[in-house]
Parts: sequence; structure tokens; C-alpha cells
Amino acid sequence: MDNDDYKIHFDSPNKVIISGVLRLQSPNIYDDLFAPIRDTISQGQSMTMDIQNVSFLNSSGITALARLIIVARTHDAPFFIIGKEEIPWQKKSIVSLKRLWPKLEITLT
Amino acid sequence: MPIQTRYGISLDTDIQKTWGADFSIDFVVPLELVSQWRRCGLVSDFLANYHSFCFNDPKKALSILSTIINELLENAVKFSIDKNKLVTLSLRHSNHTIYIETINIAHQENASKLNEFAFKLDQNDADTLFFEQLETAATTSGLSGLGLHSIIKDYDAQLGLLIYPKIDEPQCYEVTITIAIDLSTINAL
Amino acid sequence: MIQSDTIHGIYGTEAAAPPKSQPMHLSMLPCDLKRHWGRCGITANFLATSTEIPSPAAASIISTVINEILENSVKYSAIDTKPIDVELSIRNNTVECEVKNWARLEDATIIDSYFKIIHDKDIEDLYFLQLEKTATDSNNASQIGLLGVMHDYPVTLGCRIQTTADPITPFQISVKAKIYLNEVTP
Repeated sequence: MDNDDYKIHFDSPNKVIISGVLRLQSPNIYDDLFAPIRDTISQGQSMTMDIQNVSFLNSSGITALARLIIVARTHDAPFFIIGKEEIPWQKKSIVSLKRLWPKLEITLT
Repeated sequence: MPIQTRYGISLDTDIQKTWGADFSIDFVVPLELVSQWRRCGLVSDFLANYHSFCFNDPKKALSILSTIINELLENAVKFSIDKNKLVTLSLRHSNHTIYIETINIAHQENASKLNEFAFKLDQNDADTLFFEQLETAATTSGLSGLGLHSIIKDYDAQLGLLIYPKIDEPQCYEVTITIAIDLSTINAL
Repeated sequence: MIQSDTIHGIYGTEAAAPPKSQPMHLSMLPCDLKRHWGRCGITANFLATSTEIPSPAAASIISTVINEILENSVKYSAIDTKPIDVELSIRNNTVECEVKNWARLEDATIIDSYFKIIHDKDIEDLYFLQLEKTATDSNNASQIGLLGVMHDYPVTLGCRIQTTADPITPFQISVKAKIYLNEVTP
């Protein structure tokens, strides 16, 4: 799923690499984009989201991400987020999402 | 005798009165920032980028619009003497025409030159006037004054000028320059 | 019932330190921003860059904050053809961005209650309560934007709601974010 602003690439059914700028209008638009991720974790399978090259994500995106984390929590599906320390929004917003589910694994490179 | 000119097209700059327009943006740029900046280019790129979604080929539109906006903005910045140092830039897109307008405060000398330019444009075609100006610019020092000429020539643009003295400072003039470009000209490039 | 001039947060508490330069001012139409949502981000990035903040990390945070308050303003603009006004001022230690839109009573009431809550309660708890709530109710309006800004960044927010003479949009909502530069610069 590509767009001029962002790219979403599935390396495998359990690993997605997202890059670019995601500032979409509403959480529901993100839900459509993230549907394959949700399907995987709904089956209790693990998911790794590599967002190291996402330079911006707006609050609708954070909401959509929180929705995924809660689905993973419900199905106890191992969920890994790989981000980058030097991208300010990742350092500020992603780390605190662990409070939604302490088993969430966040790595900032 | 103070200069007072109304020439060619004009634009209602009240954004609220442009309800029918396909696209509108107004920008008040503090000149202090512009002069610190690299930077008319940054403003031009932003406005062109913002507007470019209206076009089938946004990348091409961005490049053309940025060139035109940059010429107009540089022109306004060069001649502005406003102590509040503000330049107003407006973009409207309506009925297959793009309007770009700058407003700045200028000295009488500049107001008078612009006035002369409008008069010449009325008497000559844009091509002749452009090459005449090119000769002048090549043989004299100082500002080239080619910006407006080239927009009118290269993009088949229509020009509007509104010049009137400021009430509180009659030696200063509010200068409004409006450029209208047909969408088909941009698409054809 | 909203008073004719209601203020929350940083409004009315500002120190009168003059801006470093004249504020920049943009007027945009909600219809243009809704047609291409990416315009919010383009505007936020431009304004953040124009602040001449040397650190890219600080510019990125400023852009994120401006984007959130601008997106919020577009969402609560009732009439697509009534402008959203953005003003950016750079002061010694802060960047202030104010976004103003025309609104209906319903939207003004939502914003008024929202600001009452965020200034009365603990942001940390409120943010996660809201995240849980919006994550599970599939509501399209996440209402997380302004809370997230306050939770994640060194920002204080304010809101002013003023009555207008227009019967369709009887309110103007201004939301202002004050970003503390010494805390965003690493």
C-alpha cells in the first residue's frame, strides 16, 4: 500500500515496515490501512511493526496504533514496535503506549 | 500630484467573500522574517505545494507556481518600506484562473515606475516590452525589474495594479499587484 | 450555556513579552484542508521551519504540535467556506501558535467541555482513559489530539470561545499552543 507520502510493506505476514509521513484524516482511515495487521494479531499471531522511518504520525494514527495494541492485548499476541530514538514523536509518544499493555515490546534504535 | 492608479484586473482579497472560489489562501508575511530567510523561496514553495493538489500534475504545478509566486514575492519584498514590514500574499483559484496578489507599501519612486510600466504594457505587447527591459537591465546597474515582465511574457499573465497614497503617510503608497493566469497555460507547459 | 467570552488555560495569563518579530498570519479555507488533508501537515511543516529553530528535532516537535491544533480546528469548523486563521509568534523562549475557526453551538460546547476537563484532571490518567475509550469504541473522532500534545510535549494550551453576530456560526474558537523551546531543544 503506497502513497506519495507513505509506504506500507509486508515483509512477511508477521512483519510490516512503514515509512514516510502519516497524517491521515481520521482513525478509521488508518484502521483500513492497518486491517491486515489487525487480522494477524486477532489470530493471536505475533506482529512486528518497523516504524523507524515514519517521520510523522498524527493523533489519529496514535489512536489507530492504540487500537492495534489493545487487540494484541486481548488476544495475547506478541507485539513488537521498532522505532528510532532520534525521531521526536517516536521517543515522546510511542514509549508511553506501553502503559496500555506492559507486554508490548518497544525498541528504539 | 500623488499617483493614483487602477489598472487591469483586481481581486477581492477578503477571503470570506471568495466563497465560490475553488481554492483560497491568504498569507501575511513579516518582512523581517523574509529578509532573514533564504527565503522568499521557502514561502513560495509552501504556497505552491499547498495549491498544487488542485492540478492533475501536482509536481509540475508546484514548480511553475513556485517560480511565479517567488517572482511576485521578491518584487514586493524589494520595494517594501512599510515600518511594520508586512507583505500580504493572496492566492485564489476560480473558474480556471489562478490569481496571485501581493500588497506592500512602497516609496513614490517605485509606485511611479510601476505606473509607467502599466502604461507601457497598454501600448506595447509583452514580448517587445520584455526585450526592451532586458536591454536596459544589461546596460544599467541595479535592479533588473525583469520579474513582472517575465511572468507576463512567459505565462501569458494578465496584470492588475492598484496604487494609492497612504492617508497617514502621503509620501508612501500601498501597491497591489495582481496576476491572473489561465489554468490551461499551466497545464500546457 | 457558553458565556460570550470564555477562556481556558493560557489565555489571560500571558506575560506581555513582545514577539521577536511581527507574527505570521495565514487564512485558509476548511474546504481546501478537508479536500486534501495533507495540507494541514504541509502548513505545520512550513510554519515549524519558518521559526528558524536550528535543531531538526525541535522543528519536528513544533510541526507535530501545530499539525494537531490545526487538524482539530478543521474538524470543528462548521462551515467549509469560513476561514481558519493561523497566527505564529516567535518569542524569546517560546513559539506560540493560535488557530481560530468559526463554529456552531454544538462544536463550541464540545470544545468548552473538553478544555474544562483537561484543565481539571490529571493529564496522564486522562490521556490513557481516552486512548482506551477511543480504541475500543471505533469512534471516528479520536479527541486525543490536544490531550496527546499536552501529555507528550512541553506545551501549554489555551482556548478562547467568543460569540459572533453570525447565526449559523455563532462562535469563534481560538486554540493556542505555547511551546517551550528550551525543553524541546536537546
